Amino acid sequence: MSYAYLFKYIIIGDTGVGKSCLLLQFTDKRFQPVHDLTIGVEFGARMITIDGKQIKLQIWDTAGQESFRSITRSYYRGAAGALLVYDITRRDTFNHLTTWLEDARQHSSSNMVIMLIGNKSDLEARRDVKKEEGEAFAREHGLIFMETSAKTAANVEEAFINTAKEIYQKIQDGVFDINNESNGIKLGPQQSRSQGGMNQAGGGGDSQSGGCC
Amino acid sequence: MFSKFTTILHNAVEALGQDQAPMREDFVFHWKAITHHFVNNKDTKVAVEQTNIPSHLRQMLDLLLQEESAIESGISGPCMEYLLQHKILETLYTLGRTDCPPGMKQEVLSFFTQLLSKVRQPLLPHVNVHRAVHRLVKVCGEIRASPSENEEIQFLCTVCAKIKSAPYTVNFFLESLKSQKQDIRTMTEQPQIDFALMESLLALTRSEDSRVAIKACEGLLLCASLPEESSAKAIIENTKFCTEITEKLTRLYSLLPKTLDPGDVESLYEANWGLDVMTDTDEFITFPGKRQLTSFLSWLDYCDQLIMMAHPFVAKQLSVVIHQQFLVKHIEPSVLQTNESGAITSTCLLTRCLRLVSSSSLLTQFALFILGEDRDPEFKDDTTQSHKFRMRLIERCDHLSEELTLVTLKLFETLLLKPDEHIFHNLILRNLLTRNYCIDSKSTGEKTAEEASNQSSVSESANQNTDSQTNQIEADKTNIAEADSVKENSETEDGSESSAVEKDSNTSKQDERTEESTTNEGESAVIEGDNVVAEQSEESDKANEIVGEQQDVENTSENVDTSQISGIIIDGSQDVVPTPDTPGSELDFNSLGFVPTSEESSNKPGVHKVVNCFLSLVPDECKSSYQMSDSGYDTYLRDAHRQYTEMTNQCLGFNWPLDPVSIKTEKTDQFFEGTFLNVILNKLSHIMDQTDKTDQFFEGTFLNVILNKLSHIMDQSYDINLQVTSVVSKLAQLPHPNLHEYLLDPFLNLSPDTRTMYTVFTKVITDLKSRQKSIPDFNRKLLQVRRQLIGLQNNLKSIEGSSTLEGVIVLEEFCKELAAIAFVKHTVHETQ
Repeated sequence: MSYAYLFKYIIIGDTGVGKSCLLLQFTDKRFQPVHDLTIGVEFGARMITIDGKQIKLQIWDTAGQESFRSITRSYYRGAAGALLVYDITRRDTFNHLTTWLEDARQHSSSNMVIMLIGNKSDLEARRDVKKEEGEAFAREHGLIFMETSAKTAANVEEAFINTAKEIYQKIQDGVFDINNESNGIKLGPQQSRSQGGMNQAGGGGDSQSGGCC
Repeated sequence: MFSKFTTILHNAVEALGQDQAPMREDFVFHWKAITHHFVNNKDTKVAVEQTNIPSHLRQMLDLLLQEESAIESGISGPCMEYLLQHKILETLYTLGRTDCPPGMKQEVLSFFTQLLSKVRQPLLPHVNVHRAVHRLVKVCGEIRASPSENEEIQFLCTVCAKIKSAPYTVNFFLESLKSQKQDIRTMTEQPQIDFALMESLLALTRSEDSRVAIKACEGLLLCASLPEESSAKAIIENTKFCTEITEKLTRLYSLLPKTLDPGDVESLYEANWGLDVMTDTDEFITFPGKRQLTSFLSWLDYCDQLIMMAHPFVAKQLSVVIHQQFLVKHIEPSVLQTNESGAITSTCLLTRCLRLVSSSSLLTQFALFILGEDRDPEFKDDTTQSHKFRMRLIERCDHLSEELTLVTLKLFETLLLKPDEHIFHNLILRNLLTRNYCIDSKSTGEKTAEEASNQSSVSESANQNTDSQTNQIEADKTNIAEADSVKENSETEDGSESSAVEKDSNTSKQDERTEESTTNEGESAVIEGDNVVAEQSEESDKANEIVGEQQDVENTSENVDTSQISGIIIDGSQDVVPTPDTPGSELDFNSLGFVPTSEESSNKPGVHKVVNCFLSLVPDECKSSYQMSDSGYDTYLRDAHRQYTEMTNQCLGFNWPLDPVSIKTEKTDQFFEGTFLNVILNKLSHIMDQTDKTDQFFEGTFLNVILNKLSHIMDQSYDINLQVTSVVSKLAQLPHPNLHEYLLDPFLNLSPDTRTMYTVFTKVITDLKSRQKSIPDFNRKLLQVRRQLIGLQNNLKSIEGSSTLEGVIVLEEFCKELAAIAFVKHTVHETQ
């Protein structure tokens, strides 16, 4: 299937916060209560539409365990977006956000869009981290924020799509150089590089790609 | 029906509450059910899915997990105790190994995987666990393309992750073999260690299923990065790890098309290892060979990442094997092949590989492969000790084939962007560290030479500083009549030199310079104090000469070098110099008075002079950029700033000196050899010095070829010129003081017959002036060519002498770039 852009995402966060479940809910629209621990990195993809344009999302679901950290880090390279997930019923997963964020910032492109996600919002009774705390953390570090439930599918679509919208906007603003694949953005197969640039200039108006040689 | 029964029973147990004894009974019941199956159903070919075994195993696992969550951590519950005591895992391993009933292997593997990943208490230390796990590890990868590959890799990676979280447990997986082969091979007591986990992972990297293969790579990465010495040693000495990784690299390299378009090779930006490769479908194939190239590069990327994360010993060894088995055996012959298009492709590929490498250990091996280990100064026409590959590549920077020249220059440019000290030392610095490109007091007599070097190295800088300062002022007094200029002088000095500390560091330099000037005058042994004053005065003369073209030139006859330099300057600036700050220039220049030929042109006062010198190098009538809307100097400044900042960060670890050094090879030793030896060595070194003197300064083969290329700037193609200047601009950015003065200080007191970039350019300009006359309508054509080059005008009609004109334009632009680099280096230096 043809598409205009391909965005690469990574999902990161402590083990057991529901990263794989979020991905499964987004790609397959189902919930699996018992999930094997992710070994290393797994992969999923889905097509979405933004502004009338087909966009393919390629999503890397990483293992939260510390012992896999060296592997997951090498996947940070070339990601356009990151979903940083914590579990609203486990405060420790919220406390570790800073470490994750540092790790992500250090090993990825500086333009990477990061969405903070408080997952398991269906478990309101066991809530351990207030929504306001998540919002404050996001504000402080310049992230987008959302609470989701992989179980009920609440906000799951939105989380993935809003991140894509933000990336798309950055392309329009010329922040991302679409010709540089290390940004985690590829043009679709039907448009060659130069065509892509022209389309973009035509559609976006003032959006000449930012980077030069 | 049976399973239904168990479920009911299970539910009943749950209903009774978390009573421990029934849970154990339950657990035993499920286990017995499994063993009974084997007693009752011998030789059946019924698949495991059709039996109750999977269900029983699941129940057992559930019970173990339930039990663990019910009791406090750190204690094994009765079910776990039963599992450990009755060697259940060992029995399961045996059942899995025989794969009876069919599919049992997968069941056992996933049972082990679940058990290891979900039970929180440390299980591996139990002998009944790790022995069974280890045996099961050996089963993995045994059969190629076995249906259980997926479970095998899950299991292996889980084991790796477990080990990684408690690295000492790796020792349970290092099996010491009773070595029978030992005495046949060597007499040394080398215990044969079997590291089955690595071997199984290596086997699975060859899987046809790319997902399995990648997971196996992840597992290898985890094992290789274990901090345990024992495992690192076992990996290197007892597994085929290094050779297999390298063999795959070689295999993928051999699959590449014989010729690829250099542009395509360069355009392939992304080649990260991992799942990326398999997601790259046909839709992204934009040029033939892209898939093969991506596979090759992503494997190299894997090697690079592996080396970056691996235990240092593993990293080093793997890098060395890649050097010996891949680079030397495959890259070298293909780069050196006589087939031109093949050589071009291979050189490009080498450049692309080099660009990708970021682990220091692998980079070191790449550098050693390309450049060899030599670190001593080169001699002219000395081919004996040179690294053959390096020699050939440098030769190719000036090859008959323009394309080969281009790709080879590109390779060197890429090298210069890599943070490895050896690259810079081997290519350039080793020839500049003696500093015999500029005149040293050595020539006035050996004694003075020693004194000079002593003086410059001994750190009585504070005293010297004040000395030279007063000397300076004295000098100014004696020489310049107006007291105003003295004031001006010291004012600018104070204004521009904010910190005394910075000055201190420069003092030794000043002194050295002082000595040099002595030699210029030809006075050999003069009493120090007077002498200093004398030459200081002369130095200020020099400055005045250079600055004010209209001023009467004094003392010219006395100093050949001075007149030479000022001659150049006056030459270049006869027509009004487009100085950005003409009104203030005199002030700036005056402030230079005290160190007119200072090699620390990175130091404050010299910079405007240097900048102007480069900007005015191309005579005005040969310039064309002012006719355009924008001279582009600002862009050069911005670029230079960005690039220089990157460059300095990269070179931070090299501990390069701040001021130029002159290292005499025989004096590099730090220790004192004792009086007797000292005398002997001094005698020897004098002899050495004598022989040295007969040897000209040699800039080294690399700089030699680069300067040659620069000298042909008007006779070679635009592409070559762009590439050469691009290499030189990288060199000029390097924050090494010797290289800096050699390239960017036009006022350096050069040794006889020594050329620098600046002297090369002045020769080119002289040549240009004579050619200019032979091209009719020079200026109009020049402008036309410039418009063509920047695409304002299509070049349908070729212009006569256009290559010369293009060269002139490149030179003009390059001088701006160099001026910008000199300026940026100065300002960055100052702010530090």
